[in-house]
Amino acid sequence: MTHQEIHEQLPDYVLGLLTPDRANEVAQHIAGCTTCLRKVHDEREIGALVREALNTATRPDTAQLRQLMPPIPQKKHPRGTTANWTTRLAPALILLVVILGSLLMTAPESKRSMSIFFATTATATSTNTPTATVVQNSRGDDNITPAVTERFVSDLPAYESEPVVQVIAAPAPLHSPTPIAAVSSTTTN
Amino acid sequence: MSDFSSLTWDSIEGAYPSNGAELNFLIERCLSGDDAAYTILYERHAGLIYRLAYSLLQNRQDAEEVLQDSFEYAFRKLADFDEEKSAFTTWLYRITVSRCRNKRRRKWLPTMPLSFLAPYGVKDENARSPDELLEQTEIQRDVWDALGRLSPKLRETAVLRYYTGMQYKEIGAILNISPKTAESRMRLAHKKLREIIPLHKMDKPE
Repeated sequence: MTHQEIHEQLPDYVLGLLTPDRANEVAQHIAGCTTCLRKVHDEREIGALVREALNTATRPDTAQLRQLMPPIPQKKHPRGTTANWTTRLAPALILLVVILGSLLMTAPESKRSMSIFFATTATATSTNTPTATVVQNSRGDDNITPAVTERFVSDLPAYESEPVVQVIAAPAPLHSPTPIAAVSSTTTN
Repeated sequence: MSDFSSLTWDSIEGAYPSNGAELNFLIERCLSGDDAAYTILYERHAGLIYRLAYSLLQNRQDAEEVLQDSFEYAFRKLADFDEEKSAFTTWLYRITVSRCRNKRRRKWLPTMPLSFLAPYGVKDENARSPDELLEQTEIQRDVWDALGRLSPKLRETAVLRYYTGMQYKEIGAILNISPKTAESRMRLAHKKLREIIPLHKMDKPE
């Protein structure tokens, strides 16, 4: 390479952007060229000035840094495991079970006159023990016929907090053909 | 107890090894529920992360928030750290850069420096104190301002390269870019800094 070509590559040389062979060629030239040696010094000076400026400007306050330590997490996972996806899916799975159960228990037309009060609460907790309770009406009816139409909350977002899903069937008046139900979903933090 | 004020980036690897058997033992102790291990892990690396965040954001309060957010995330995801994939500091830097980018995105609004309103009695709480400014020489303030005038992408590359001396492959891994992109950004950042920093002031600071 000519002197001019080497001179133009000095910034790349300083930044470590040359191939080893090219860097060696430049290094050999610099050893005998005052102009290029001066240029290398100036280019390196930029990096040195940046380091010193940052070192001074960003000096931390020790006491302040200690106060900024975040809380230590309570849950400890063995190394290599991933986040607990089952907890996040638990509400959706419980809702699915409830709905399937309701569909299986759908009464034949002859029993539609019986009123029911059917409430289910499904809750997923952070301890990964989902609970579900079923409350029957005070009459203690046998042959419960939960004819429920649901409106789904189709997307249960994977919040880190625990979603609470309630499926409530409003009591159907006697002889009413279509009891009404509503599904609501709220999240709690 | 470690002394944050004595930490400089170019000495951190020698003073506080962030890899190897000792670090792995520390991480295992953290995951076993040893609170003291978390404190040690934090104190060994908080200075690094704070300096990186402050260099990228050039705002003390933002840097402190990023420091907290980064370690909160790191503590929570400590079980997922894989020493086969990267060094621990590289992993931390990646988290920090991501948080810095989020912080910048949330603050992307037309703004003017509060210093413009200083004649009207408006004070910038994040502005340097007179003591802090006195600590810097004039050239250091010029260089700090010059870094602030770089685009965020160029500043990220320049800070990581100049201050840590990382290879471009590692810089690329932290910034989620290819090594070639890291090299071209570094070339451009260096060129811009050479244009911005007044040549006649490029003497060794006292």
